[in-house]
Amino acid sequence: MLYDKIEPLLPKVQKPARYTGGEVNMCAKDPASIAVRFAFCFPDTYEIGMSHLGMKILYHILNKNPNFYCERVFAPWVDMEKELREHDIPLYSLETFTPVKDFDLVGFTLQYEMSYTNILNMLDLAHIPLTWKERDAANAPFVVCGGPCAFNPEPLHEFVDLFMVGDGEEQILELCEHYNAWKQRGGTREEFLLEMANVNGNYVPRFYESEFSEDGKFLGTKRIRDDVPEVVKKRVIPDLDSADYPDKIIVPFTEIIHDRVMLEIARGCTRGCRFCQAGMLYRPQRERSPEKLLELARKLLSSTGYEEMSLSALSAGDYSHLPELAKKLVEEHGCNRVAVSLPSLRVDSDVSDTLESTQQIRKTGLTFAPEAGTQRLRDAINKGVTEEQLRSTVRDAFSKGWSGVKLYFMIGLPTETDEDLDGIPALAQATLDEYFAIPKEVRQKGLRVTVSASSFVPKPFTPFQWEPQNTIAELQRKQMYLKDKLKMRSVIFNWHEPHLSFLEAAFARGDRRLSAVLLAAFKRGCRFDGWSETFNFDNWMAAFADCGYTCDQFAYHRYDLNDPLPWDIIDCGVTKDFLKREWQKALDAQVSPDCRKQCHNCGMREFCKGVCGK
Amino acid sequence: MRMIAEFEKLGRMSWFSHLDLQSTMQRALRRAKLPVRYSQGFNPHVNLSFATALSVGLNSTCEILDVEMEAEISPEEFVEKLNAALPEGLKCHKAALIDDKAPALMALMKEAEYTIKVKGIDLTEKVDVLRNSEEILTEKRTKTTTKTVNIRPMIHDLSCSFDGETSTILAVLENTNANCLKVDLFMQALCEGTPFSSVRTGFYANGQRGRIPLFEAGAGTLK
Repeated sequence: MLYDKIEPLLPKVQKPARYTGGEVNMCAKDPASIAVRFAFCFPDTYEIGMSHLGMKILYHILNKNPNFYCERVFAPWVDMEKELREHDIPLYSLETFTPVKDFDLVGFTLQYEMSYTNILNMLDLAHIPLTWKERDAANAPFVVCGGPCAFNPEPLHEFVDLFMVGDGEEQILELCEHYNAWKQRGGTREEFLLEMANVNGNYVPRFYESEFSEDGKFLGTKRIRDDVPEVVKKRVIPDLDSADYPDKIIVPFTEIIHDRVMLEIARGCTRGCRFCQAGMLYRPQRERSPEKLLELARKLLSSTGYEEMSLSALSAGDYSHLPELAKKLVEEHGCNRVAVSLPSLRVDSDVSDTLESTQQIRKTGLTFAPEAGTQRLRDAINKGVTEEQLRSTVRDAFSKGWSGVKLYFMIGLPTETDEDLDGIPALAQATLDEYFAIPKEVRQKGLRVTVSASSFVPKPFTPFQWEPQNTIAELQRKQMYLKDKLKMRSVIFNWHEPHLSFLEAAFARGDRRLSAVLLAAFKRGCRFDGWSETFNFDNWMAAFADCGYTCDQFAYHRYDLNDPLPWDIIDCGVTKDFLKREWQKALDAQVSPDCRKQCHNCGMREFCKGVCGK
Repeated sequence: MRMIAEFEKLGRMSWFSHLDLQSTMQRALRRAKLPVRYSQGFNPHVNLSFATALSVGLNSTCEILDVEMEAEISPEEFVEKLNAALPEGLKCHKAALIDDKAPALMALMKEAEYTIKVKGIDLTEKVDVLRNSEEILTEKRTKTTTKTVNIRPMIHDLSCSFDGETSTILAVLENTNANCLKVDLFMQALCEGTPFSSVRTGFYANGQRGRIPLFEAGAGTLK
């Protein structure tokens, strides 16, 4: 067994528990009785991957079916990679220590662009050929991908057999069923993929072709045979209550990033922030009922023993039954010392009641994301919140005993000026003022206002999808400008080097030419690009040069409103007309109110009739 | 009132740290719905400790958990319920109720016993030499310092047998709050660089008539 070969390596690596599995609630099956074996690969470390809700859901759904066995694979950290390579041990699954190359289907979840080199590295460590062409020749497992980055699949087209676009709950089961039937009956790999291409939500890149002009302009992607769809429509689960959700989840031994029960209260968001890709991709907004959530909470807490539970959604504060749900959860589980936390609170959510009931159990940090400093820019990005809303929320929080507040901003947003930047220190000052306006006896000591500024990355399927990213030099200038203005007592300013965002911008809106760049970067040793200790910008720049491109030509490219876009082959439900209208409104600094108040005809009503606007 | 419970940590379970064991046991106790006592304050946790720490990668059949109880429950029921909530490789053997005021297990602990296996080498002679030495000077290395220590006084019992394939060493080493000889350092003195596998197989306290198992010593203070 492979474990015997792995064990001697473990004393040589950090955090060996990343590599040994065996956790509580891990699914154990006899591989001999299984029809389809699915390796669920997360292209980052164990601690990150195990914190991902989508993986927990799909792991549960696949393993509920007695014919399928889903096992987990994570990217080994560089120390373990070295050991595996030195001892010629192939990448393996944590459940049964089976080499990944012995699985039927190898699935990767695409959560962020800067994990792409890890995908290639993991395939390489698994001794699986990197490209679909080589895999066809070697009859290696199929490589399938899903997740938000599958909405612009093109930069990965050479490496992936099949992309699954949209909600995965039904799709992943259909994939395994079709695979099983194909395996039983026998046939070519192309036959299987052709069949899959005709199942809603599946994109098989080999059946499509991109065209470029001589001077390198993208001219469009078209199907090369007429028995595959022209455009791939994303999948939508209409009713979350009827969708399967795990009643038990794996409890890791070693601490992970989100080490708690995650209760997905809603999917999608009605706010329509113009920079936010998730807000567009996960439309329409759907909620789980409080009854269903209370039942799930009960089962999950009892099967895991977790002492903390977070209510998860793109905008948890917008959940229609939030006060009622929070109150009941606290009533039912507070006596068992369960803390209920609410991430992703919006400044303007009606948080007062909710804060009060969660605070009874445990104080968790308060985070607000005004995103931009001035009202004009907040209106332009449709964040809509006002300074008075922020003030009243922090006032409320400070008077209820919080003393630490985090404020998140973005810099490099379209239409941003230095005046907008000045609004950021002004909001930090307003937060300080609110704190000091509260009598000394009432407020908690230890005021701390953390201001974080991330660099804006334009993303597909948003009203800013045509826009170039700010140059690195411009972003650095803005960071220094803010650093200087945020030298204030009790205020901490955080920012990141913009180089990573620069690459992210290239890959987010990139086209098929980036497959070659990705391969070159991998060959030059790039991996774990999202980690500052392993990120190597020079190697990346060299990889672009190897292929005759520059990163600038992708990240700084401005598409014309009428240009074909690399992601036009995917239909995410939101129409281009809507995005164009929103872009114009951004230029005019006009807000589009929450779509629960007013429909803006984004296209979802037509796309999935009856689900949206209920 | 407190419950002490002996458990094993083997195989795949040996690779997570002592800190991880703390949260793992806390969650297992919660899953088992055992009436354990929590600390006061904003971050309540189960009042739980272990006889001593176990290094990452080391197997053990004799670890002891010490947890404060809110309500009385029989040791048999405790073992049964806890085992139903523990993963393979973590298994509770026995438990005993003790008084809140009973001394901490660490205060009673004198020695730890290790069963060490080395493949392909007959170590009986080397072990005899070590046992008959009056002084064993060994370099104790940490990240920043190296110092020479005499480990002989900390080796309390030592024997070895060879079955033609594997040498099996039984070593009882000092393990108190003040002085603790780790199995790695002992093996460094015996045969540095040779691969070995070891299992911690016993903890001992001083009884009236000499060495007694720590668990019995702890349970002996039953109210």
